[in-house]
Amino acid sequence: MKIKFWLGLFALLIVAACSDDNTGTDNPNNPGEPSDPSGFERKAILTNWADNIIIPSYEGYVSAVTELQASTETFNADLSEENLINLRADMLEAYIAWQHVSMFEIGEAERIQLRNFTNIYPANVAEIEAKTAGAEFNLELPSTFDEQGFPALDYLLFGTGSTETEVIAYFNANAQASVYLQAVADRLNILGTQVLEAWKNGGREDFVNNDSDSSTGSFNKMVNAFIQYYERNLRAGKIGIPAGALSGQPFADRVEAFYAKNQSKNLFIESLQATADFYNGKAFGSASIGASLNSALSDLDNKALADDINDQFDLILQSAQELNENLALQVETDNSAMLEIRDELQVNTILFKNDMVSALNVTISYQDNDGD
Amino acid sequence: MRQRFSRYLNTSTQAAPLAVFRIFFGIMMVASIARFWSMGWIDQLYIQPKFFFSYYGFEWVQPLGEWTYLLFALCGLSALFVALGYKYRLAIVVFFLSFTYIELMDKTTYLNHYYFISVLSFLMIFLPANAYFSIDTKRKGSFNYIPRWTIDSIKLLLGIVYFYAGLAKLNSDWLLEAMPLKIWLPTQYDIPVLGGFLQQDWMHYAFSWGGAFYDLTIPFFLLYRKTRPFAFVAVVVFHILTRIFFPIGMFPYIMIVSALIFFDSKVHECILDLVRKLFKINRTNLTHKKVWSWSTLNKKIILSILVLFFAIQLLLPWRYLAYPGELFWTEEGYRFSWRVMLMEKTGYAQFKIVDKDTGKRFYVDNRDFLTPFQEKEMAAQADFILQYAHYLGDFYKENGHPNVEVYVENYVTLNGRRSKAFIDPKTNLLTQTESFRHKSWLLPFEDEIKGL
Repeated sequence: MKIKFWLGLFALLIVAACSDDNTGTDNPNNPGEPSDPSGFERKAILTNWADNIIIPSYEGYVSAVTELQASTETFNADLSEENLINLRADMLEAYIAWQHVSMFEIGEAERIQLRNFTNIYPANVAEIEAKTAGAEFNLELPSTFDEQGFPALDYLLFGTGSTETEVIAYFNANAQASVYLQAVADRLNILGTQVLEAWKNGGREDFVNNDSDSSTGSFNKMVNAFIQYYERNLRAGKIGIPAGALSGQPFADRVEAFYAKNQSKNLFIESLQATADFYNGKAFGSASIGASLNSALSDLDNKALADDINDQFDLILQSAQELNENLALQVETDNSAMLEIRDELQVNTILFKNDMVSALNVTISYQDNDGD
Repeated sequence: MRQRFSRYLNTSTQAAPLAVFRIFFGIMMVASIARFWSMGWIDQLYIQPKFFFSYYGFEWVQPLGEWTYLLFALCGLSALFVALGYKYRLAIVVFFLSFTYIELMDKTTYLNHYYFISVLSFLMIFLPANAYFSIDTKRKGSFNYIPRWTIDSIKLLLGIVYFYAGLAKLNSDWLLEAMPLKIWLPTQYDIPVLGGFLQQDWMHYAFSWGGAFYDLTIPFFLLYRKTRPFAFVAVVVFHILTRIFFPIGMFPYIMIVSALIFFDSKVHECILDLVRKLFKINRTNLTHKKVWSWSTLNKKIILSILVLFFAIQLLLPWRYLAYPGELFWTEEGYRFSWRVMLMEKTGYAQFKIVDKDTGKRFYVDNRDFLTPFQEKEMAAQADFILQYAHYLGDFYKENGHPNVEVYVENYVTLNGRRSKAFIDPKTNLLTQTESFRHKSWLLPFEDEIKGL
């Protein structure tokens, strides 16, 4: 207590002393008026993220996977073409909704490894085939990451036959396929719901109130999770790896939703838009804008950087529109367009990882240590 | 002049200040080691990593696996002996060696503060800090007077640290742009009382200019008797503020207690009386003046070493002048020069391995080889990048790629400037070796930071 008293006293003294010396701090645009203190405040940003982006996005996702679970039940009860078409549509809708929550791998999602259990691709077809042929399975094992989630559904609903009739024939021929399909759909719903419930029951408060600038504060963790998602899952996962940007060897079959064929570009653009929206603090499902990384940069006197990041997002979105709807086809026919997009994505990787992180005084490492 | 100097060398002064300095230094070091240990940093920094960044010429200094704990224990124990003044000479030598060894194990953890401790403990090897109020006096007798220059040498070292830290701040980024405080302070808006001001521009300038003024002048205000009490208050305030703003561990406290050395022996006798009361130690009654002295030869040797030592201390920070390019960008001659808190620097480094036999290339996931902390330090510093590149080269040569080249795509942002390529991406880093020469494969800064 004594120390705190001392500190307060000295702090006041210094502030007082400095205030007297600084009469020339008027706002240059409005002489006479004191300049506005900048508005950077972590709590405001965390609140906007939680209430307007993260929780609504999870609500959208959970409602989509709930529907997916129901239409899987309907399909399994009656293996009709109509039910398959419905199920496929619901699966793709849920896959789109997933693009809005995948980047939030913190808290409960991080603890249960939501992303690993939901979207590791390419799917392990041999293992999935074994399961639909009747092998026992336990989807909670980390070794089964690539046998479940959306990539597994993609294979089961699109890859087991080239026409609807063939897919239905597959399910008719393999009774266990329906059991496995249901288990995968159920699990998506269970995990998604678990994360949403955690956010609603205390998670949101923990997140918003942990507003320190330390490496364990929510702001630091979320920025790290966001950048990691952008770099590894968006840039590398969706574009770089299929294009062989790093290996020099393209792998067309490593695109997202490989078996659905015409969805990979859609999913990429959705994810790209979701990251741009998150960066700009745009609410899920509405046009309203709140406190964000973009506004933080502006508040901290870095408007040029804030704008450059948005310009780059625009550029990437524009180039992305030119791609074939099936990125696997794009890789096979004209991979240079993929590599170009990868380079455009890379520009923002560096702006995020270096310039933004530096401007926001966020550490990109989780390790604590002294500095000098 | 010569005569005056030799007369000065023969002047003696009371021994209490040096004894108090020794006690506080020892206690601070014990606390530092204990803190480091309890944070789990020994494991995190020296046992978990697969690979360590060495100082040029000290590649042989490596962590000792689980034995590293013993090294820290030895370091802490010797610090305790220093505080007690028990077998002081041996204790301070062991402390200097063990502490310096620890610092040399991985330059990822380099801090000016640690370097300061190494340098200070080296100096203390030659000072009679156990002459008074120590366990050693039971065997060797107590001396209430010591040569004046022994205490002055510590003042001189502290003065150099502050003054050079101040000189380093005389540059356009610090003074004209208030960088990097402009980046660091606004995010600390939630500090009580001060927080509300930290997002105001004038505050960043006030702290920048105030910091530079403080560093440049504080040694002189501490030396001058009339300003000393005020200067000491300034020391306390300054270091406590830095402690609030930045995660700098024990260093502020070390500097605060070190500054006590500037006070005369009355203050220190008070402190010693307090210790005597606390531990119920009887006052040894030295009624007459008893001066510590060395043999003529020893004195000559010690003085020669210290003259050389201070010459190095005074010259080393200027070695950067021998290198072309911007110091803050290349960091050639940056370390060991009391350049503290001058840069907000972040780097991005992606390494590309090219197999010359197959023509295939692939990229390295740095997480496979480095801890996040190591990766962070590596990505913005050329000597780290070079050593890591060779490590990667060796690794892939042993693992099925006998003929490889290593390239890096590297971007660095410095004090709010936009990221810029730092290392020539077309240079096969395996063709380069570490040396004290300028690294020609660094790309130019293309901006100017004026000043020292």
